[in-house]
Amino acid sequence: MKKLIVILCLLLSACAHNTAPVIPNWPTAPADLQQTAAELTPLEPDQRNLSDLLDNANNNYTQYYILKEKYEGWQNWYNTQQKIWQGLE
Amino acid sequence: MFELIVNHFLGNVPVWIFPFMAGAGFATFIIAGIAEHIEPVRIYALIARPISIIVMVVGVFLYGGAGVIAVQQAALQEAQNKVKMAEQAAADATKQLADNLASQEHLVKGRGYGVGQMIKQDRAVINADCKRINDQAWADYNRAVKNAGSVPVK
Repeated sequence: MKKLIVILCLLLSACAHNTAPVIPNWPTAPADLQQTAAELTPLEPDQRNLSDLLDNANNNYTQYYILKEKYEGWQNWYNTQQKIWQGLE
Repeated sequence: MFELIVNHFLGNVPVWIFPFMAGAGFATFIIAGIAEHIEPVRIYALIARPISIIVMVVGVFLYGGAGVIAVQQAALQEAQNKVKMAEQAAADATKQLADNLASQEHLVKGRGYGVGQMIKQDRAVINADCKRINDQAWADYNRAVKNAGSVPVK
């Protein structure tokens, strides 16, 4: 009778190894962050004034600041998603 | 295959059937035990006894499986809800970041444009002392822009 009780208890754990996986979808980063970085613009051969150089430098600096925003955007996006992802564990 | 059959069985048969099977098996086992001592039905009792044990064991096994599946389904539902909330949070965060990024980019371009306008206005003053930048300065500047410098060998 004792053996029967033990066997019945074991049987009650039937199929306990079955686990259904739940896989969250990896989010897509903002489209702006996925664009290819623009190249800096050199001076054209006919641009020989100091004002041309300043203007060109200004355009390139603007380009740098846009890329800086995108770079920080990537870091921000990754850290936020990581926090959300870790909350699932 | 065995697992598939059991899962199919558990998913398609009402749960109350399993304790009923186990109870019926146990009752038959007891009745057959008594009936063994009654000569006219002894032969039936001897056959019924092992069958009743099998029915009881299968009933208990499937009842246990049904319980485990119910617990797992609850856990699965909870996990799915959690994932759904996380996906929503991730999408919201992404949208907020995209909006913020677009706004920052707009500001950066605006400020760059402002500086460009200032340079245009001050063109005469800027160029007053330096009419034409020298060729070497022009070439070095472009090297810097293209990041095409090399260490000079002395």
